[in-house]
Amino acid sequence: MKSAVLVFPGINRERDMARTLRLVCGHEPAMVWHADTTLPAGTDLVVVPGGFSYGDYLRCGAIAGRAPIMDAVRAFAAKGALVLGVCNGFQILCEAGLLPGVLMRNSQLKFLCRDVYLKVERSDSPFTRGYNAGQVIRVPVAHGEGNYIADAATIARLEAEGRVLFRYCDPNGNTDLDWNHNGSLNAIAGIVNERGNVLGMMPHPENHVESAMGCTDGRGLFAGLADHLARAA
Amino acid sequence: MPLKGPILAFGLAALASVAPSAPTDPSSTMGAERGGPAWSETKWPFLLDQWGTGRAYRCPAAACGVETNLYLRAKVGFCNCETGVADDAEVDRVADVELLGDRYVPAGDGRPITVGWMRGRSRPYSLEIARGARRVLAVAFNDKCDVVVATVVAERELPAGAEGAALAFLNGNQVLQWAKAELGAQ
Repeated sequence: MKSAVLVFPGINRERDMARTLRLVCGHEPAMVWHADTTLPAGTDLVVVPGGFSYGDYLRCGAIAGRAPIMDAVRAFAAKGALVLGVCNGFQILCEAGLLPGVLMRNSQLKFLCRDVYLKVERSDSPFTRGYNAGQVIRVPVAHGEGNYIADAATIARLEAEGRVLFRYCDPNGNTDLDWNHNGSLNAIAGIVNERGNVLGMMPHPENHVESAMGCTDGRGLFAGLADHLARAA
Repeated sequence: MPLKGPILAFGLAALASVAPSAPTDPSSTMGAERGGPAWSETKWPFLLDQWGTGRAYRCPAAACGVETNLYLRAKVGFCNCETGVADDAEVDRVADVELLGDRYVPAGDGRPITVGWMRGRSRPYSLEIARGARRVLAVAFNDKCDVVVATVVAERELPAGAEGAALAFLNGNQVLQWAKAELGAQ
């Protein structure tokens, strides 16, 4: 497994992501600067990490979504290769046109930094094969703009095509307004593109992978990816 | 992400500050406009956050009983367009109390207020500080989908007349002209 973590000015979670990839997948990822125009040869997985790319100016992810490296990422995704965007990475993938919809300011207009519960909607995806369908996991969020919005037709299509992989829920897996912390439509926390090879999600699974962190629920995502790529090799 | 800590720390520092800063515009001293006490503009004391910088004003102890600060910001497009600031839940949502710290709770029900052509509500909050709690007043009023929020805090407990003094100042020409420009109102 050869992964690449994109680095934009203002990103601050790239080292967390690199550490997790090294820890769970056993390989050191390449760190790829935003001004580069190509990905390292043989890359299996591109990760767009969280942070505040370009200080969140214009809109979150708007500038990074148009960075030079993103043409290479779009070409990479078009081949069916795996792309994961977390938090600001999700916003960047939406701005880059790789995922539909937009992440608006949280409905309560407050920055959220806490653990949330997610229901894994399906396990037959490269990103969720490390979980069981219906499993509830606990992972942290840290964002001011995670309120997923799309037009009604897009939401209907996402739901009909099973493209919602993660949904905010209570500890028992019930979707409830009180547990949909940022107000996302249909409690959406993570979606994939039509081909299922590009995932964007607001929570940070990379921050719950070691017992020292108090929880290892995020580990399944990366272990599943490593397993998927090992089988594909 | 870790930006939050510094912003809050800076807010607390601003709250605790007793050192007067020079008004950025001496001509903005409000005098006794509409019967309100003298407010003068000071430098915005908080780090930049997602709402940008606002306007900061100070009323000296001689005029307000205790030195009182008022922080004013517009949040364009983030009010409930249909109902405006109609209830305390909307005040809680749009208020800026977190500029001063993240440990705060409502200290009572809000009440309707009017600022110029805009309607809204004011609500008291209790802010946890290093040695006890401090009363903070949040005032929110809207023009269609746009909301203006004012946060009033004193170096000691807010005096009884603080809300009246703040509303008198908010209803003054300076703030109303600023609000019209900021909100693009006619």
